[in-house]
Amino acid sequence: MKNIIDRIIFVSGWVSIAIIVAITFFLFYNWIPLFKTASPIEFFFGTLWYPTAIPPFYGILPLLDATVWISFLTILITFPSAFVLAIFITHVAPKRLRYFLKIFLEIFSSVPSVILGLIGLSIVAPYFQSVLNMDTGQNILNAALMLSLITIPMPTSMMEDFISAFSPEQKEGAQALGANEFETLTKVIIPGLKGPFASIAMLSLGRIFGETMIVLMVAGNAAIFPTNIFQPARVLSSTIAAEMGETPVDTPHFYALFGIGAVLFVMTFLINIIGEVIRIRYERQMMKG
Amino acid sequence: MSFKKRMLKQRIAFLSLSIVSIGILFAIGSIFALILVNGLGVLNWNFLISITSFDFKGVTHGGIGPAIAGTFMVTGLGLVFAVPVGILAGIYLSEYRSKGKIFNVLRMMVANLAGVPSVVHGLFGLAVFAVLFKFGLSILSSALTLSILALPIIIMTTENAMRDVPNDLREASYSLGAKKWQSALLVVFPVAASKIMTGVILASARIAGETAPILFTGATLYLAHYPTAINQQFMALPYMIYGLMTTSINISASTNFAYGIALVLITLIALMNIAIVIFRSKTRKNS
Amino acid sequence: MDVDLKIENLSVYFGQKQILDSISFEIPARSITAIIGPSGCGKSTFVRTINRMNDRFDDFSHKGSIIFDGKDVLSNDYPVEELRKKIGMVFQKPNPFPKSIYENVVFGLKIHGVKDRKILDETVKSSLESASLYDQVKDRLSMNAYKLSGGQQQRLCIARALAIKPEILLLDEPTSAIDPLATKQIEEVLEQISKEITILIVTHNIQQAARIADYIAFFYMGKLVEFSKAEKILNAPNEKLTDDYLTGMYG
Ligand SMILES: Nc1ncnc2c1ncn2[C@@H]1O[C@H](COP(=O)(O)OP(=O)(O)OP(=O)(O)O)[C@@H](O)[C@H]1O
Ligand SMILES: [Mg+2]
Repeated sequence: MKNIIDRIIFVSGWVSIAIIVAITFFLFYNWIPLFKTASPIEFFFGTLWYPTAIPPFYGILPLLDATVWISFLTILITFPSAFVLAIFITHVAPKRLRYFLKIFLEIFSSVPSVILGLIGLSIVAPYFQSVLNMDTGQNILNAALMLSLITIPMPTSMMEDFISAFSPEQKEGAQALGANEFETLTKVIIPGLKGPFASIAMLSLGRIFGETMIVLMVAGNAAIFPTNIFQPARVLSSTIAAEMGETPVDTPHFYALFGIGAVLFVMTFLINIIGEVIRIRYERQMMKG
Repeated sequence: MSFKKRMLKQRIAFLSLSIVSIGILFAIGSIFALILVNGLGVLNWNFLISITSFDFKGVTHGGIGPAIAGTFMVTGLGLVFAVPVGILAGIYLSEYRSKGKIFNVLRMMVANLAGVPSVVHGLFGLAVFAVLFKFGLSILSSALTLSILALPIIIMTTENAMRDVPNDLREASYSLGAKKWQSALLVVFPVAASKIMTGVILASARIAGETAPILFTGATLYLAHYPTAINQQFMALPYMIYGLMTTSINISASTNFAYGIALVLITLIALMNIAIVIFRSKTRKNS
Repeated sequence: MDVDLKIENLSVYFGQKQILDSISFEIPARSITAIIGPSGCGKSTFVRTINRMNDRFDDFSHKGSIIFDGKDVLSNDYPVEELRKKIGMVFQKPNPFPKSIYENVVFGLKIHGVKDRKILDETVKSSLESASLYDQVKDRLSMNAYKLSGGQQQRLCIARALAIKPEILLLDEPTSAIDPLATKQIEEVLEQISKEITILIVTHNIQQAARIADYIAFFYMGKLVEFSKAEKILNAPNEKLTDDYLTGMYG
């Protein structure tokens, strides 16, 4: 490592770690001062989030609760949809359509989430309210639907890769025993996909968890404990987005928002690590077996 | 079970799969259609270049010129930071790797950086670029924040593209006395370049559409002129959609305007994606 | 006889596995030495150890030394880029860069800091001439090297190696991937350049060794069985193993 260019390359290689460390540091650095005003217990277990009230409340429990609701509802819609779509693309759709569908989904996956927010707000919400007679169209269900739409392409393409990577010999083996294509799918391919599916679910969850704009625009933004999916809610990520713009630097409210950022960061970090570890372990198994 | 029954079962299963799939694809397709239909109504040359204005009823007039310019500026400047570092980091991971866990940790950190929620990037940009470095709320702060989002995408595509280059080219250059960096930059990189290009375009498409990271690092809802310097606040297409839909006092009048912006944004991003498809088919032909 | 490379007690390992076992012999200068032996006996490993191409592998290790110009090229103080400038290499599969013919030939010069356009032009001409490729490509030097035929690509690789004026040229089965006619041309090229450059060529083809080699080294399971003048090895080998191999016992 004597050469200057080697050194530049080396430093660039380590930049991502440096950034992760820096993100961690600055989130915590701007969060810790909150504890002069509100204890960690109040922050994590407080049931009221009224950061601008007098006196203010900095409890993130309702936000956390709503995040869990929306994330799980979303994954509940996304995962089976992606699965069905992946099978449709690999097994049912005519070959020529396959390539087109893949590109179509790929383009859709890069549609900015703010556009789904626009659709949810201008089309879905009024429909919920006037046609389906909900109290408000800006609610958990609307957010989960829009979130699912934008998330679906990622797990679909991952599942598709795994399904089509299934070795033709294994498939032919089953077919030689007289199984038709659907039986091969359910008896041979799907059982072999438990590992990757767990990892795909985690990675999608990480995505959903951190998505901000859709929920900010269509979930109705009420920091309450939701009791059903037709109620409005406010999640961790969208709280930061909604409030940071009007919060003066170095105030308890500012610190609390960084605290939410830290919680969000740590949770997605863990979810992604678990997803990665499952994937790596599965790939190792594949290589051995 | 008889053969007939089993075939029937397969047919029913595949049929219901198809119905669900077509439903999902229809929903996705209708998003494109809605934006096209609603957006085309407001789209004209004037809309693309004029300055935005609001009247006293909260109705938006004029066009989105400054927002288009702002989006191009932050995206472009973000790439200026992210592309060199990202490509060099990808080169490091593919060409300088050796045995040992440390490279796997590095690689995992890149994947994790890709998974950091964009609003967290926004917080980081606010704390570091705007406050600590005193760049304030500006194009520069936002561009730096976005460059961190682009970084892992560029690193990962570069690493994969470089790894796909056959080893005998490396051996040829080493055998002529090339140093590692010479072999990486002069021999392997040019071969991998068009694949790396797809990663760069992908990253641009991604950061051009982001809202959360610029929300409190420099984007603003209204600017009476085109941006002229990187220390100014700026308007951006995605942020304008959000702003019009949530803070306008006359939502219904703003909605059409927002659809016009969405159409412009989606067209931009679709063009980038088409460029990726073309690049990819090119590299496939060459190899 | 001038000695160019002195191999002393060379043993090579990949991890725990020993690939070469105490090889010792002296490679004569400005002549062609062929290395023959059954597949997997360590021929490639041997030539790749000489210009330290094996350094890239984490589990590579060695004992013994290779003396060139009075210095051990395997020692860590010997600058590997300098070594490769003096000891060039041509591989089994032609591996030109996906660049123009011209850029391929001047690559070595450029990375070693030569910028003078005149020197570059002259070297391209002389190297391509030495590789008897010049007449065929002189009008299309800016054409991509991938458009050349396999035999032409291999001669381009020889020209590329010659451009930096090596003292030794290592060739690892350079003709095994190309047709007989192109093989003949390359053999002629090697005989020509061996007047000035020491050539060490790995070959599977005993006829080829008979046609061009001045000396032959026979390797078997990581050991040097016999090294001697070509006629001696081919007509009256000392060892029974050599004789068995030459008479086709191992196919
Ligand atoms: N990088 C490496 N790591 C581990 N083992 C290696 C490596 N390179 C070669 N070997 C092993 O060293 C032995 C000798 O290989 P080598 O390629 O030198 O044989 P060879 O005589 O050139 O054979 P061939 O005539 O088939 O080219 C083989 O058993 C091979 O598996
Ligand atoms: Mg070999």
